[in-house]
Amino acid sequence: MAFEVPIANKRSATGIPTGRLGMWWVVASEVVIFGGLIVCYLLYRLSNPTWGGEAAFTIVPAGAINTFVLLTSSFFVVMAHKAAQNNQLKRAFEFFWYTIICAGLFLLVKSYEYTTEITEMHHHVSKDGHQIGSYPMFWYFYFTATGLHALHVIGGAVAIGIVSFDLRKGKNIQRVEYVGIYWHFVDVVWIFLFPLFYIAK
Amino acid sequence: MNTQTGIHNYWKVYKCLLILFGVSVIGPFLFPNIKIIVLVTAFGIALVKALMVAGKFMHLDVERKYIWQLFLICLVFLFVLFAGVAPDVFNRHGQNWVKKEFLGLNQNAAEDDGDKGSLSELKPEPEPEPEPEPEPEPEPEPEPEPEPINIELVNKGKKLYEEKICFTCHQTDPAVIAQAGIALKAPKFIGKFWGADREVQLGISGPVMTVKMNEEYFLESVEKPMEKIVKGSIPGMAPLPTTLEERQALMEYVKSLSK
Repeated sequence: MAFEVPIANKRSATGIPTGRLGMWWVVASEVVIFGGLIVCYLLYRLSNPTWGGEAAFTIVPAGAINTFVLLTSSFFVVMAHKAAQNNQLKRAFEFFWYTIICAGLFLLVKSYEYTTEITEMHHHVSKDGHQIGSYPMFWYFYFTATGLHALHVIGGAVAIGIVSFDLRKGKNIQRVEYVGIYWHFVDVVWIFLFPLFYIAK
Repeated sequence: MNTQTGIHNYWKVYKCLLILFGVSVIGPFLFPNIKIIVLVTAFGIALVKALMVAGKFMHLDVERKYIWQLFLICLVFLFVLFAGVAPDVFNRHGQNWVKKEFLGLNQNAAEDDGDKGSLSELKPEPEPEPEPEPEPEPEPEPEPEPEPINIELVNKGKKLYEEKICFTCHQTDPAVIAQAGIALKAPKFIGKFWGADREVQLGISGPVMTVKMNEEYFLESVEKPMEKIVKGSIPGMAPLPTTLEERQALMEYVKSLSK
């Protein structure tokens, strides 16, 4: 059995399983990607107070629903982890699919938001004397940050789907933890994007 | 191994997260005008939530120190990025540019500010000069064609056209393609364009109207490019920090291109 697994899988100078260490490295580099984006956004936002008028057009209830959905999905992932640890593989499989449903919900709400915002931009909607799109830089950041995040949600959901089928067969159970770490990170990114783009006006 | 010793009550953590989330939404909703409450509830709670997810769900609280060091390194990089870029981004003016939007908004604040030396050079530019002078100028010469061309002014304008990098977007020579101009669909100064009508949008995605390419329009557009944007082009021109004299030189040069 042991020979089927590449030797590098078993070797670790840090005392952390190699797969998990690799996932942490992925997350750390993602911190730089999203962090860089957020830092740039913050820089521009702080020097352009007028962007608050643009932020008034983002749909707070939709963002709030999505925050709730992602927090719940994170909970499902950690429950799947717990179930897998207790060798309840079927239960873990179910929890993983609850997570994927959450991801679908998230994307549904997100696409509703995008549609509304783009339509409003086409029709030059105004609110409180401010016309949407007067400071397009805000929207460049908004679509880049939330779009990149949505791609991560899609990627994470696909990864969880793949792992869930392996899991049911009892293969590579350690991966439950790895996709979990990734998924929680996607959740954490949204936790920061939500106040940055929705709450702060 | 570590994860087995640290058994968390995930349900409890989840409930905590939901309560925090509720506060972070309701706080700014109830007190939208008290900035400190908005900031603390929105961003302070976001930080707490993120740490809770990282600690309890990602099991960072029982993870080895190595991972923390890893994240610390990344955060240091982010700080370097912020600190390295911030002085430039927060600056209100450089050698060749001015953030008019910012100056216009916080004029009082800007005047009270410490950087007097640079502001004193600045203020005469956007305020007193353009306002009173444009009126007497356009009247004596309402786009007369046979008017003698002021060679000196044209040459000065040509030099400015290079210096202020107008040429990167506004193509003047059919043989020399302005790449950035093609991307932005910037109006070209080729052919018989002076005096011609053009369709413009009032502000970004504002209503469309027709204007004549004349002195008034030209001077305004150099100073405030976002007021009237040629229909179909991408609004990409920043307000050009120039004196009225320079704008007139530019105009004289551009006018001379119209054939």
